[in-house]
Amino acid sequence: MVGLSVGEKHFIQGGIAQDLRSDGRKRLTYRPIYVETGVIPQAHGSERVRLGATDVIASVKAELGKPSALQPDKGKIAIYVDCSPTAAPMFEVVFALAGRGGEELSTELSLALQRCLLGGKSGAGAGIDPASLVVVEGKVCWDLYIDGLVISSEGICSMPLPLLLSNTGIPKVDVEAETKGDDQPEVSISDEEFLQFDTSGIPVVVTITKVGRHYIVDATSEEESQMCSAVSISVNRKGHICGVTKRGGAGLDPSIILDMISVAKHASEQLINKLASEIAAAEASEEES
Amino acid sequence: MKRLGSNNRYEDSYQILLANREDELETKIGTGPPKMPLILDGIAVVVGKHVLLGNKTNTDLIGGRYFNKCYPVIVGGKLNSSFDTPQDNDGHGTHILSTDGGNSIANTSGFGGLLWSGQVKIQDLLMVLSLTLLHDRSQLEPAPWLWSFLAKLSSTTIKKMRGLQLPLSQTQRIRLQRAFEKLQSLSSKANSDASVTVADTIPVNYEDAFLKGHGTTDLNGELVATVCGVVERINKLVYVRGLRARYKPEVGDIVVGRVVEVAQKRWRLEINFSQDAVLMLSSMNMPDGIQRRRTALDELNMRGIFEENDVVCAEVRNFQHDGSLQLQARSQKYGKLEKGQLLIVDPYLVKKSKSHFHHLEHFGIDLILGRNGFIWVGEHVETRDSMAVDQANSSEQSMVLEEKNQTHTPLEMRQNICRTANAVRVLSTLGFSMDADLIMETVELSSSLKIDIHDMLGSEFHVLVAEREAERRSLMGKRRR
Repeated sequence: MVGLSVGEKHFIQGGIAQDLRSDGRKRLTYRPIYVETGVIPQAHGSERVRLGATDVIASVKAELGKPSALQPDKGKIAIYVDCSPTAAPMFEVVFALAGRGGEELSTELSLALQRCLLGGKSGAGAGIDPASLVVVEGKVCWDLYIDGLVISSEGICSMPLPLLLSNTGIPKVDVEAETKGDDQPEVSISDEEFLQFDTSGIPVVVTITKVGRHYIVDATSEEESQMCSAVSISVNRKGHICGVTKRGGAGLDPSIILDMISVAKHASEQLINKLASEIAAAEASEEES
Repeated sequence: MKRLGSNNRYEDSYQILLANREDELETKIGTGPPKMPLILDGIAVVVGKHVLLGNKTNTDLIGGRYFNKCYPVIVGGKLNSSFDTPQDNDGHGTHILSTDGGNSIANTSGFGGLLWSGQVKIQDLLMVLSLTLLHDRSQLEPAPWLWSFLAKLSSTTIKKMRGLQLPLSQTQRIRLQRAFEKLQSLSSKANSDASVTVADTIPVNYEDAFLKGHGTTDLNGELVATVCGVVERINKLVYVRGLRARYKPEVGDIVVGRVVEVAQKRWRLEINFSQDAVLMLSSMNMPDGIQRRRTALDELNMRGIFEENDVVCAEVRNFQHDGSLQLQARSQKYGKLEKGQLLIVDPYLVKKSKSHFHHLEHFGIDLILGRNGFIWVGEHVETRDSMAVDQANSSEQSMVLEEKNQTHTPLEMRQNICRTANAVRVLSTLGFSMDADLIMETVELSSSLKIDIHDMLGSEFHVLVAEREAERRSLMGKRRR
């Protein structure tokens, strides 16, 4: 990340204070988000999202598997985010010196996403309902593997997830024969029919960055260098908070966090609408081509 | 995921991955011999009987990998062991002699002499091609087909790269296409804007005497390009300008740079050149304006003049014997730049002109077009008279600065700065040369159409600017006749 001179920092802070950022955005405006669906034909659902210089590909693969003995009526979901070494120079440098710099960020992102999507241990409050993934209770269920790949990153990337999941079509499964006891039932996977995934409960992650006395969303890397602290809040369509992560920086008074949460709720509505229209446009263009 | 090495066949692999994130190439590239899986950007496509690589493994393959000969290629797991891993000790990928628009990148090794690695300054490379060919040794065919395949690959990428990274609707795309075609037809030099890729022949009249410049080479009697870029012709000189080339300095150029180091009696500035430029303390006016020898005290107070990360405007004084650059900032118009924003564009877009300092009175802002591609847009600063800065008064000075900190740029001036900055960004995306008049016109276009400042970065405005420019040039052409 390039350093900034005192004059430039002052300029950025002044801009945020006056609600006019360096590229003309307001404090709570997102940069245009470009979405392309279906980038990985072998996956059941995939998407590529670009926001500024951040570029992320996400894909969903579904495989048939056996549900765990503890939760026989639920499917399994695994989420993993990987930061490729070409994503940002910082991953590269640390990688050369000691361990993999990108791995820390990968695990952090994966965990954060798991928490907000999968809910608690009992599965309560999950964005994706695992019960919908079961095929034959106790025997066969869908295993969803959600993978994200950060190709290039600028600052904190918190990619909205509804995108990739909306494009997922899980093939419809027909159970062939009834079997008793512990035998594995035979299932045939239909190539034609797909069940669309229910994405209404899926949250969006909004990162609020505090600069001076104001909050901004979608900070560029220059603005991020000025931040006091940042909090990532995932909000779902109903306005419920699914997860809160504080991302470094100075300590915050609890009232500020509550403040940020309300700002996040407001910003998330716009973001959800924007994403919905982008997805629709992407799918429409995909059908055209 | 199948293990390709499971039947113990040792396989050669040359890996070329596309690091420029243009997708959709898989639909365009169907050439090349079969049995060659393409890995584009982490998205694997199976060709022949070879393995489909899913996401997880591809993430390890991005960035280029190096497979040593005679070791089995393991696909499908995390590649960590030093023998089987495609990485070298530094975590770099395929090691090949690298080119960076004509400059060389340090710390790469030549191995196999196939293609580029580009780990160090990957953003400078046009693209890093990393293509894994996984096949039996017996089937490895000699390189020539690979070159032609790669040339085709790179040419499709170049064509994609010239396309804007903007979502354009169908009508917008058509309008933009038309505007560009018009501009091309108006361009007085007909063939000179031909874009070429590696190993393309350059169209030249061989009877005329011409000079072979950078980026070209004589191959079998033909003039062939060695870098991907645009052919430029100046009188008899024919050369290829790389698309992401660094700045090529000339004496007397105005440049804008960022201080990276405060060293003994000099500052080092980063100016998008292969080396950092040097600004000697003696080439800088003292704050008190007196011409005198720089004392040790002056040297200790260098940070009072420029600190790390400061943006400085200076002029190229000369080249040192080792090729590095020396700058001077003796005039009042050079010096530290504050209260504004720095924009970075490609250096070739800023052409040499009479004046690079523009004071836009109407907006009250300063626009400095550095020839190295750094453009400064900021509040207007009157060229200061020499201030008397005594050591005793330095605390007073810092107090004054603190007070200055409290006063921000007024909103209207800030809006003008943002508008101008966005105009520069739009022109840079479209690839038009930066010219103060053009920038002003773009700003006026946006304000006359009442386009919101942020919407200037949207696709509609880009199309409008392109059309306007095409019209303007056609009018100019008609006027000449």
